[in-house]
Order: sequence, then structure tokens, then C-alpha cells
Amino acid sequence: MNLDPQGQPSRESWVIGEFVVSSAVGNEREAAERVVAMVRQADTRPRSVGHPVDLLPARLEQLKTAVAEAVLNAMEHGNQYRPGSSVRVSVIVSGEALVVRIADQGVGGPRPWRAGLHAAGLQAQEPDLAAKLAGEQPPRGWGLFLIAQMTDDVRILNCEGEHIVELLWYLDETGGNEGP
Amino acid sequence: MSSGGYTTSGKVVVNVRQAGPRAAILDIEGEVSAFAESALMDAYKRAGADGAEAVVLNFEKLDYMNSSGIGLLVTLLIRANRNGHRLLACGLSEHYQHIFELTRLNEAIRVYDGEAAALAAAGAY
Repeated sequence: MNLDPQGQPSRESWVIGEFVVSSAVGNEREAAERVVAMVRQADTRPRSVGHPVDLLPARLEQLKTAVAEAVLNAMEHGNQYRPGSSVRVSVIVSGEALVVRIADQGVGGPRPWRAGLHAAGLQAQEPDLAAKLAGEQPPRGWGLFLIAQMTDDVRILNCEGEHIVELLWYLDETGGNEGP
Repeated sequence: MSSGGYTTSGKVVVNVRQAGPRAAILDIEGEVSAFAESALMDAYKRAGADGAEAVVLNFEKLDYMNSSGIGLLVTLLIRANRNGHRLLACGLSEHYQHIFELTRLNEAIRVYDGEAAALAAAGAY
């Protein structure tokens, strides 16, 4: 049995759902909406069955944005939009968190994660709007920042040829997460 | 208030409306992502050609915006700044208002609750 930091039995993991999307521009939105639908369905499960997840609408919107950006990143940088490549998305309640795991085939070039996320606490560097408006930085480059702002935690793993990003939202005792 | 027509590119439709001699409204319907570039930029160009000095971006019918869309707004801002035009916004949902605050876009594109407030700030009439 797993114990939480307070020594109490922690919830075991259960997979709410899993699916695959092909690497094509625009599919990230579909992936995000499917994840939200899965989480909403998990809301309606009786508390005695499995583990409830009860996110406020505002948090669901943040989840949608974070998932879309992470899937977009996986398709663009991980898979480089290679025909036939795909991104696997898993939605899991693990211990005290809702986890959305995004896995790509990991053959892409240098990841913006390494430059965009500092090692300590995975704090995303804030893009500099003034520098962008002055033409000193490209207008793009907001994805990692949005992911960091919309989640409670982010983990990055490499496993068996896959590059995996885990987005986490910590749940309280009732399965809720009111956000910051 | 006259309508200047609309441009569309796949998942987004942008309608241009003149609001007095000095302002225009871009009604953005659908998705602001990489797909929206030509529709958004063409609409802005038409608004400017019609004499607008202030352009209100009406997001009331926005379905979805991603980081590429935010990049497009930055590009639009760069062009507007270069042309001496002001950009304002209205109709943003709470979620996208929050994103505007996080990205500090709200400091460069003032956000208003509704079209009337945005047009008043734009000095449309």
C-alpha cells in the first residue's frame, strides 16, 4: 500500500481513459476536449466507486489549455508532424493528483522544455512581451509558459523510446482542486 | 455602423465593421490558432485601409485560442504599433482574460467588458 507524506494510505492509481491522436495541426484541441470530457465523466462517478474528480469549471478550462499546449508541443517538437506519428494521451488519478500523461515518439530535435523549464521546480521562464514587441524575440513561444501557469506540477520522463510529459493537478480529500 | 465584410480561413471568420470615422471592430468567430493568420491580418489591413486608428478585437464568439494564436496577437500588435494604431479587446471569457493577464497582453491591448465600453475608450464617435 502506498502512503502519503502524512503516513496515511494514499489512493491507488486508476486510469480514467487513454487515446491516441495523430500528429496533425489542430488535433491538439480535439485531444484537450476529449480529456475534459473524460474528467467530467469521472466527476459523476459515485464516491464509493473509484475516486471522484471534481474540478471547478475554471480549472477545467486551465486543464484544457495545458493539455492542448502539451499535445501541440509533442506533435511539433517530439514528432515533428511526421506522417504516421501519433501522441498518446492518458488520464489517470494517481495518489493525490489528476495526471494527464502525454507521450510522443521522442525522435525530435532539441526540446524547448530544456531551455524553457528550469530544473528547480520546473518554473517556466516568462516570455518577455516587451522584447517580442521590440522585435528582439519571436512573437511565438508562449506554450511552455501557459502549461506551467495552468498546472500544479509538470514532470518530464523518457521511457522506452517515448518522451513523456506529465501534467498534474493535486486533488483535495473530496477530489477537488480550486486552483491558486 | 457599417460592415466591411469578412475574411475566413478554415476555422475562423473575422468580420470587419466600421464604428465611426476612426475605429473599426473585428468580430472574431471560431479559433485563433496558426490557421487564423491570414484572416486576422487581412481583416486588420482592411480596417486600416478604411481609416481606422483604433481597432477593437471582439472575442465574444471566440471558441478557442492557443499559444500560436497569442503569437498572432503579438504580431498584430507589432503591426498596429508600427502604423500608429491602437488595439483594444472586448468579449473575452474569464479564462482568456486570465491568459491576457498572465501574458501581459492586457497591458498592450486594453480589455473591456463590452463593445460599447471599448468603442468609448477608442473615441469612436
